[in-house]
Amino acid sequence: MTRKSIYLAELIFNLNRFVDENITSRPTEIVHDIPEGCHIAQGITGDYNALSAIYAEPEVLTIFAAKYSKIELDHYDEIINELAADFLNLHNGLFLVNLSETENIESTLTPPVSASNGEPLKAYSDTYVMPVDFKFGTVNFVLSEK
Amino acid sequence: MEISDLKVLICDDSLLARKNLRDGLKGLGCKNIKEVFDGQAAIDVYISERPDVVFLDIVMPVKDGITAAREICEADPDAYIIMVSSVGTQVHLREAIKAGAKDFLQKPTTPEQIKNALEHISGGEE
Repeated sequence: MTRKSIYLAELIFNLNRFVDENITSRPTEIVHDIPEGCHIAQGITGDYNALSAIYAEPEVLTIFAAKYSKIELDHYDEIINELAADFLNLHNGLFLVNLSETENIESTLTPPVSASNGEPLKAYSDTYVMPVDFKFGTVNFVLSEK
Repeated sequence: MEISDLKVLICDDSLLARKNLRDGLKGLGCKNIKEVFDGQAAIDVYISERPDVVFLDIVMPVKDGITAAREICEADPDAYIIMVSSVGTQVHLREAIKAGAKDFLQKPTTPEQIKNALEHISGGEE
């Protein structure tokens, strides 16, 4: 299995476990740049280096954050971004535990960022967009490997 | 000391992680809970308020949790630090113990995990 495949398998497992059991992952897309509007990200550094990110329409991200946090949320604001970043951090951490235990690859994380007003995120060489369909809409996960 | 009497410091940049820990601690009767968002703030509050236990995340802005644990333990070798992280790899576990942490909880934490961790400080079952 490639690391991207391990990442996707772990992602589906964690989405089922922490957000919603009714999801469908669509085929992964290979892109050259981090998609526009994608500003919630977290770096993975160490033996394995990558940039991870999450993005969706604000209304979709709001429902995603509410389901993940079990908090009632009815409108999009900065807390939604924080909660989406929190899921990314949790998933990435569990992915790194998996990578450490199964592949003996040791990496760590940088603090998640939500740079909606900052510089656009820069892609590394191999960048994948993994769209996941929920009943309430599509959430996209990005993995850009160094 | 009863768990409910413990003075607790939570340090995590994640609002959800803080909420989960706070809810778990309140469920155990804890009333004296303080929250901060980065490692440097944890050091500052520890030195001024000397909590009985610190729940410390690893990946944080300003100063990471391993560095904060090391600096707190240098200031007070008896500090009781419980690392709480999503990155529960053996390497992070070893680094945390080397820095002086007494326990390590894998996120997401459960109320049972929190209770078990605190029973070590309070001296057994409530």
